[in-house]
Amino acid sequence: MLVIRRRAGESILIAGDIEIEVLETSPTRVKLGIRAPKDVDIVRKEIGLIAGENLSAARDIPLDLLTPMLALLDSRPAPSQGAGTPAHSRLPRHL
Amino acid sequence: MIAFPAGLPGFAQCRRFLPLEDASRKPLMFLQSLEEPQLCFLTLPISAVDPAYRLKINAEDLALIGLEKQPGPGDPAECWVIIAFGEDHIPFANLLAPLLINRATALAVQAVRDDSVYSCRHPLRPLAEVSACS
Repeated sequence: MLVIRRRAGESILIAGDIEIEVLETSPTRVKLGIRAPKDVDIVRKEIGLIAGENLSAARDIPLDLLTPMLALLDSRPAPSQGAGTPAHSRLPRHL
Repeated sequence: MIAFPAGLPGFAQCRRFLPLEDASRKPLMFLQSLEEPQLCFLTLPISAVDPAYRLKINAEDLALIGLEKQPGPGDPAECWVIIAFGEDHIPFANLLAPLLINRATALAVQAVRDDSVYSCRHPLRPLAEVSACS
């Protein structure tokens, strides 16, 4: 891996037409600005990972496995419900 | 019908989905694509998978579905997770990228977290077993 030190306001150039500029830094994060031709696909790495997971989740749903899966969930204590609020529409209590 | 204005990762062109619930299979919800008949996701409410789940949605994702702040109880927002089956038939939930649905606007987003607190392959296990492991 190529390692380059840069400060806020400085850039690197990749293949002549992709520019990555360090806009801001903080102790835990950096804010980057990217200038690239329209046909260059840019996504956060996690998005690529999730795309793979979605593709694998979207394969045929094994209907015969749904009942055992629900039985697995039913074996857990039911969370307490707010009055009149169906369990399926509740958000987790700890946000 | 709910719309994902940004599509879902891997299915950017699929924007419109029909949520289908089957009374005999509660709390499951099927999310059927209206653009791609072959595409259907299996989802569960996040509270059924991990009652202690801590939502963290970034500002861009909130704006995309018409929310101004992190949703809380009482908001018309629901949080679901996509379920997949491994080769060994063990179901797992994608807790790294929950689906947030704003029922008031019928807009939804797959909110990919930018931390690594939760796994995208969280195995579904009985709660007793979960407690025993922690």
